[in-house]
Amino acid sequence: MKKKIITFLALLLIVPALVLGATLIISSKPLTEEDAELYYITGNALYKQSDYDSAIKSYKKAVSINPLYEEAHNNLAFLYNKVGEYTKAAEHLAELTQINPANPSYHYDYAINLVMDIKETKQGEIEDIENALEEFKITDNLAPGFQHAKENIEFLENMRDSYYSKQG
Amino acid sequence: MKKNTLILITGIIITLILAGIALGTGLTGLIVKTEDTDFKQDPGFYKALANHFAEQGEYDEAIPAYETSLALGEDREVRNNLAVLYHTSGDYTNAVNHLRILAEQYPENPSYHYDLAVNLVDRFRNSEEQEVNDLLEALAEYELVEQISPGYQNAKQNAEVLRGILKI
Repeated sequence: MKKKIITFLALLLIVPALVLGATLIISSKPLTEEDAELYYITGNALYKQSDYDSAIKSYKKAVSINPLYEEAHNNLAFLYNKVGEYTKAAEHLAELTQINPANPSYHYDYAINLVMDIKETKQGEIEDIENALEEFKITDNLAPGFQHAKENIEFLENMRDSYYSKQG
Repeated sequence: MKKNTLILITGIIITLILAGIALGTGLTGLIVKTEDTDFKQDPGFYKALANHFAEQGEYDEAIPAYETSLALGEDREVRNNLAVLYHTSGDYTNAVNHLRILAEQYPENPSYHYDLAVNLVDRFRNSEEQEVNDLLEALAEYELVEQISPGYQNAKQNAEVLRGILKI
């Protein structure tokens, strides 16, 4: 009896399902050239392959589509720093300090890249030192004790004072 | 003639008449004989069960039922539905695996190639370990779709976007 009931219920389930069928479909939006995230993710994948030039191009495309794309600016700054292009790294970090001024690491990294640029090119302007000093100070205000902000402030102040004393 | 003999002859005649009526009017068609099926071994039973769960939106129940159905017998609709449910639940790798099999089994069906491309891009977008190869394969699949069935969904546009991303 029990077996007959189970058989009946199974047929009740199977028959309409087999008759009606149920082919499911995947719905997807079309890809667009304005998909900043896809360029950003591609940049990440290219970076992992150590293809830095292509990764930079991908990240640049991402920020050209979305100029407020923090992660893309940050990765661009990181990559430019990695390949020794400190001026370009500083440019993107300057953008980041505007986009998210409350993040101390953007100010700190901006200052670091300004100093690295001076060190690398050996032709830094006093304005760059002043800028770096200012950014280290903002960092220390936002997050007291952040990395080496305090020591760097001291170092740059000495450098600046020495410059002005030489200028008379 | 004895009374009992008369009753027996009358009974036989009535039986023959009823059988004649039944055969003549096709009443035999209403006689249903239940098959003694072992549902545990019946892929159709699991398919119907899975279809039922899928229609209810119970994907966690539908997926294992489709998997069991597929283990008992190949069925393109089951494999397709499984791929769709894996896609819906964000398991793009399993969706890709099933769609690769379908695309290989039915190379002239554009929808399998198209869905494979969609899932490759989604996997690229969402996985921790992005592989540029997923985008390259997706591009090849979109190009194949456009070749098999010109104008199919967004294949042409998607291929152009991917070419733009990958040539950088």
